[in-house]
Amino acid sequence: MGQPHVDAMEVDSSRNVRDSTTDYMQVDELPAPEQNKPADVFSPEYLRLYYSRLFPYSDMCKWLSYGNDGKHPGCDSSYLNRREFSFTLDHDIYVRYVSFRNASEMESSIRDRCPYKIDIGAVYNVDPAKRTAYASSGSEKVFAPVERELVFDVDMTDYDDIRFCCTGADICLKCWPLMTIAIKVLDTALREDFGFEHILWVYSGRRGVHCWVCDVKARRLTNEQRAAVAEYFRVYKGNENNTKKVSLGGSAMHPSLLRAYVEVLRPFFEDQILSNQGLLQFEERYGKLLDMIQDDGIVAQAQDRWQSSRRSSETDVSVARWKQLKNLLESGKHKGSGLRRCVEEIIFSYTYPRVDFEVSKHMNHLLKAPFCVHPKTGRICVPIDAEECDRFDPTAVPTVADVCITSFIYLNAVL
Amino acid sequence: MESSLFRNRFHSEAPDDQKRFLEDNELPYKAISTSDFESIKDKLVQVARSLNQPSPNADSTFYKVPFEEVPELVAGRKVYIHKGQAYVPSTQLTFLVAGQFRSKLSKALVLTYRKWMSVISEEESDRLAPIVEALSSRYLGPDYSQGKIKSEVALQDMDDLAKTSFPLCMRHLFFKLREEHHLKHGGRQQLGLFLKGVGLKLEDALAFWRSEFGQKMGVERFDKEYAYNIRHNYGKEGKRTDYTPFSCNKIILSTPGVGDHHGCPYRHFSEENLRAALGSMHLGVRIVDEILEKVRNRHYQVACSLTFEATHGSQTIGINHPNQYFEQSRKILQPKVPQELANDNTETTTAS
Repeated sequence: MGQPHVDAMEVDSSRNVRDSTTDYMQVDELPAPEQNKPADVFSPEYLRLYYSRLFPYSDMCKWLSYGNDGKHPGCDSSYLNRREFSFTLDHDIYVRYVSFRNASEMESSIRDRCPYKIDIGAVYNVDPAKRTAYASSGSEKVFAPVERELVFDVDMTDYDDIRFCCTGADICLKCWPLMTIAIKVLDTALREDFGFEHILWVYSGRRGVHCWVCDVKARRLTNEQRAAVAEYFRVYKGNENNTKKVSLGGSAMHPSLLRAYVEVLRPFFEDQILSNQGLLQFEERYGKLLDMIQDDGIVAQAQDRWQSSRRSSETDVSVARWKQLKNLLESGKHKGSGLRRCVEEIIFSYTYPRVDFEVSKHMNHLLKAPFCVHPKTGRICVPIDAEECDRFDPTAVPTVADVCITSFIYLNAVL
Repeated sequence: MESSLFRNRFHSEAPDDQKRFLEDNELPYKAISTSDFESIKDKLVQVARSLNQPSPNADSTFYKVPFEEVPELVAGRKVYIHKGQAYVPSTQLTFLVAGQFRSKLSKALVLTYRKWMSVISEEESDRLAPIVEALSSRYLGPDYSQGKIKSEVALQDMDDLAKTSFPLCMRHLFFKLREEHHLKHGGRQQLGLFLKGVGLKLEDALAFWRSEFGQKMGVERFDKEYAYNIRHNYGKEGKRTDYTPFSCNKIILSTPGVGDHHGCPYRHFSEENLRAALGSMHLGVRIVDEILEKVRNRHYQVACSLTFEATHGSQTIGINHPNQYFEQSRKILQPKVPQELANDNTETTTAS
């Protein structure tokens, strides 16, 4: 038996087995795995094992040091220590302002406390653990963040009004393409429009993705600038209280939106989303879509045709009906500008990324660390290669149980 | 506000004066060359058209600046950006310059504040300090923070008060909460702080939210995940800030998203939904039409005042704050008993 073979992880390095095998001479007792029971994707024992053998402490610290862990005279050895982390321990005990000087301190702290969740915050002007001493009242000094990656959080529940395959915390391969779209659109825009280069995408462990933009320029953005970037990506303004969810006003679209539309949104919508979600299959579903059309005549025509045909058992009914609707809208264009952007607005409503504004805006916002384990699903928060994101399968992401068992078997075979 | 004033003044300057201002203040903005312009012309035209503005031509001047310098233009997708550079037309020059102005002003204000707190206020305790402190108490209007609440409100009266005295935004949130036993964060903040301003005490607030959320998620989960936030709003946790209830301005500018019910219904609801909501308040068709006309012209607060007048049968001065709506409503529907009468009553009952 060779290397552990884990298909779904789009990771290039970082889970290397350590060189020295002396650590592994004593392999811990593993809880016996049972088949497919939810309780066995996660357990405190697996978590402990994960933290003692597999969590990539040195890679994590190497990343977050941004070169300050070197011997170069320009290095700031206090840099890593000024980063805030937070732990969520068992029984929902929450601990903020945790910090570490180096990877081995991080390792002993995490192994010791076995947090269910680890969040990464900002780099402050002093070690967060010493903040009260620094900023006592009457002093000019204020404990404040100085750097922090630009981050984005895309969560599937923000798309609940347009997905019909699952609800709530569930996800499946029919709705996951919405996340793929978000990755493609945001990644391209962050690189092309904003000029960022060092972008990490991470699976959030259950139903979304996080994005960490690590360029120096990104880390030094103010809250106002972060809010501006998040707002740049805000297109969908809908909820159940309004009907017009997207307005792409004007006689042309902003180049960034046009690029997203042509390269990602339209192909995904027409090739995948329409049929995955059966958007035009049933009246409850196509009703929502038709609500976005301002022309009552066209809406009535569509409703008449679809109500009478009742071909809801065919899988490509949505695709066929979309073609019909597009024709109706095209021919109705001359009637007024209200319809001009209708097709685009519908597609944007059903596909354009929906980013959590508050997460991106605040420098001190705490965001889950990569390689954490999600306590409800057991899945590891693995990085996602944006260039291969079409192939990412969230349902095949290894759980903490999987990796413990696999490495146990591997080590047994090697030793 | 200073930035708006600055922007206004700068904008009214002639282009040559604007250019001179740039040079005098050594702002490093250089116009792009013709060849640069040609290479991105189609994108610049697209942006202009997306804003329904005239397309740029060979005579237009564009400045190439890092996108960080023009956050407002970036936020509104009002500018073309490429590889981190924003191409700002001279017509938008004010945003560029105002951005610099605001950041310099902001930095100076922070420094001044720190120096004031640590050194100067001591030294100036006889001279400047009293003046500075008096400045801040000249509020433009009441902010309904906790210290200033005169009346209390009982939990059992909540539903009736919601029907008669809450402005539409809070009615909507309140009844949505009753219906779905849940509200997202924006809604909890907007309604929760409003109720605090109305006089709901912390214990009653906790009981209220617990009784609603508890129906959907169980009281343990509520206590674990939501109670802290309510206590925080009342200034009992964390840095103990006494958060003030949101003004109309803030509510109108908010951006409710999927699953949200906060915001200003006059702004954020579709016409159909607004009509339905006003209908449920038993307003006649003609007054609803009048209100919708105001909404179409974006006079959201005037629309709200009209609703007040129609439901209370009396005039009101402009509505600026949901708690103001509530107070005015209570004044009309429940005028206070004059103090002397109350005293007489107690005297007669105690005398035996």
